[in-house]
Amino acid sequence: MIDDDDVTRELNPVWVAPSVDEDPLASPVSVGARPRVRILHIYDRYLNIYADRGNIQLLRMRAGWRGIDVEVQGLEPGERFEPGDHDLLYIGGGQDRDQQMIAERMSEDLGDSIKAAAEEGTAILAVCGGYQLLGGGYLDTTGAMQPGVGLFDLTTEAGDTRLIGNVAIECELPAIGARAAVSATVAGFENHAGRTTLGSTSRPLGTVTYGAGNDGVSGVEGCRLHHAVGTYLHGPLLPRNPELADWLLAAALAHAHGVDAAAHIDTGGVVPGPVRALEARARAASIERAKAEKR
Amino acid sequence: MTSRVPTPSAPPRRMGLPLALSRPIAGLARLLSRATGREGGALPGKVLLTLSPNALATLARRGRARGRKIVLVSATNGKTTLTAMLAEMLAADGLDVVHNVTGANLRSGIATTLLRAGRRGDIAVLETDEATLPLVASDLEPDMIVLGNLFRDQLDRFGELEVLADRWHETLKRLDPERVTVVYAADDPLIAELVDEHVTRAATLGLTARVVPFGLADALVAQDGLPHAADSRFCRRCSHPLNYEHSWVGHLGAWSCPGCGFSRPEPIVSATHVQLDGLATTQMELDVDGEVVNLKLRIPGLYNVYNAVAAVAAVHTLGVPATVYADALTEASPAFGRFERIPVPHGGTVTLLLVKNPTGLNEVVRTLLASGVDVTATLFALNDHIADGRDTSWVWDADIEPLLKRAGAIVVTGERAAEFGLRAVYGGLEPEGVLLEEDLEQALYRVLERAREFTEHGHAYALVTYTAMLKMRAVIAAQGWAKSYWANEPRKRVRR
Repeated sequence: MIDDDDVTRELNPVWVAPSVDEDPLASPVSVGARPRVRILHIYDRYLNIYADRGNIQLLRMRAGWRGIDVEVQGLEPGERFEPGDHDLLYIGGGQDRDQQMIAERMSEDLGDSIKAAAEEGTAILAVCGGYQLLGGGYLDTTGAMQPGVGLFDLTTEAGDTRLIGNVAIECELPAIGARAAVSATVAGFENHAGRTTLGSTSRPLGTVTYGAGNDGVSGVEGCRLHHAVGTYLHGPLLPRNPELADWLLAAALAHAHGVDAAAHIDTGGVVPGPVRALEARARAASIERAKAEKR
Repeated sequence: MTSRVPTPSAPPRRMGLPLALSRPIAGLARLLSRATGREGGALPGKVLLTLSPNALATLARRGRARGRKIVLVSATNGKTTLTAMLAEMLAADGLDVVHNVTGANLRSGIATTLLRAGRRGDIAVLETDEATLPLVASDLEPDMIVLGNLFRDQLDRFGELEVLADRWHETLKRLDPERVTVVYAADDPLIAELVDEHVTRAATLGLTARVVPFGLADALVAQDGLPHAADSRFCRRCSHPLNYEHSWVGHLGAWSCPGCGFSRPEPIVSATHVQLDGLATTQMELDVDGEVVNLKLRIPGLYNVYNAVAAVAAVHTLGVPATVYADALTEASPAFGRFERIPVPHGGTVTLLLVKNPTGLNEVVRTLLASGVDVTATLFALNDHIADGRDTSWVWDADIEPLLKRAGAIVVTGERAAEFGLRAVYGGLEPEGVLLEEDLEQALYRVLERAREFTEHGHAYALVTYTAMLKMRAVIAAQGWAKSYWANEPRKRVRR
């Protein structure tokens, strides 16, 4: 197991707590003075099924509630990026064809950058197809191996049936600097034919309470390495799972402004009360479904 | 990444009870289904198919022996409306039309419809579920298939859009290209590619496939660009991103592929001038194989222009004269729960708008806003049963932000109400604007109250997923504001 705290280095401007009430337009201070998180949405035109933009929009708004600016950039196949230039990488899921089209591009063009980014503590969220692409490869039904990025020690093999339904898992999200570790129930929806097997050095994102998870038999779901998370859960994932959303935001902020900044993303706090009520209800409804479904 | 789901083969031709024996049982089931108030017209067919797996083919054969033709209609969006339009237009031409009016579009529902029709009917116009089309087509051996559109819908059920496209591909492969006419959306690159292959395959056998492409041709009503939910952005042949000169609904448009040169087939029937007048009427000029036809539609929305064009393409091919079908189309009213406006006591109305996938929701939002109606009293009901789609993530892929902005607040209900509430908040609605009322009946009263209090005419709009729509319709019927579901049976037609 790797110590999660070691990966965030102070590469970027030091954290200065913003004043949330301050009107940025009224202030003579340049926009650059506000803390900022830079998101790279990899292959956004190809990998965007399952409401991936909901996750991005959520990160934008939850950051905004805390006085943090968010920049989102897309990346086209053929383009490359520098590992230190972004604080959060987002990789969504795609339809079969779209994913086949970009699998090779991603591993060849972006593999080294993604791995380097993860090593230096960049937050990464990869959902469904994006999760599979970050593994060691995907063995499709024809027996052909599609390449993977190799960030996560795992492999995926196409199954005969799709694993479809609501899922609930239990997660432990580690401390980031002074920000305490968090335990959370994470709920979502899965729809995948791939069966993912974790390698011996991998740690899952969580243990399955209801639903299939990685392969329907191992009892685990997803994979986490440093601040990189891969999971089959969509819905989109983040709105009904605020602990995970804020943890990713804290990791991204730590990458952008130093590890002390992470503590600024506390749970709740600035999140409006009615939103917290909706989150709790949405997650409860999702868990109820996962529990009731016979699979 | 996903594996291809194999195309389901036809059910085994095992020996069931002879049809003659099972029919009384099915009749009994029909009586039972009515008596117990089940909404679907599917149970008698289900019983019949259990007892006699070949019943669909038998029923079709009996009808065909008496000259009854079969038209299958399939699409992700609009198939109920399109089928209803077709039935109206054909009936106006004096034909005795058999039609699965309740939208029971699976094998069981179609079996029920044919069972009820007995030997009656000159033509059967059957709405067919997208995933069921291959099985139904091989059983019924239709004379015509109308392919409306393919959008991302119920991924939890179908796997993904490509899986469905592959199944349609198999369906076309099995058709006799010279006997069956394929009426299809030229504007849908996915469908156009499937049909093009069908045509090419026929040509290699020295045959000429009968195909009728339809589409839109009015740049003034085009979208500003492809919406987020556009599914078919890439060429199915060469994977190159497609170019769109114009797009009208989702990924339907005047497309071409810069990679391989494949482009939209020239439509034989197209809408050249479209004028959308609020929620009341739509005027349009059609080019029907070179002939100009003017139509007036009392169903709003550009997506219903597509339905009208598809319906005209089909009936024109079947030989119905323009003078007959134009009038019939004007008479057509919205299908159950689709822009269905219901008057409520003390003045005002509630309009039911069925929504079930990103493109459908986009179009409902676009139509509502373009019409300029006051949307202050708006409700959204999100359920997640099989008929709604168990995966609620689709509401995040639709562009509802303009509606939220205009409405300012929205009554949110259904079994996954909170999920939609979050969607609204992250779509820019103030959290206080989410009026959460999980109970559907209470939510209906609340939106009507808002309509009375805050709007001039008391009009409320209810965007509802399928099972929420049925439930809301039941509440409305129980209040006596509208007839129940069963009252929507087809009108008896007198033969000309």
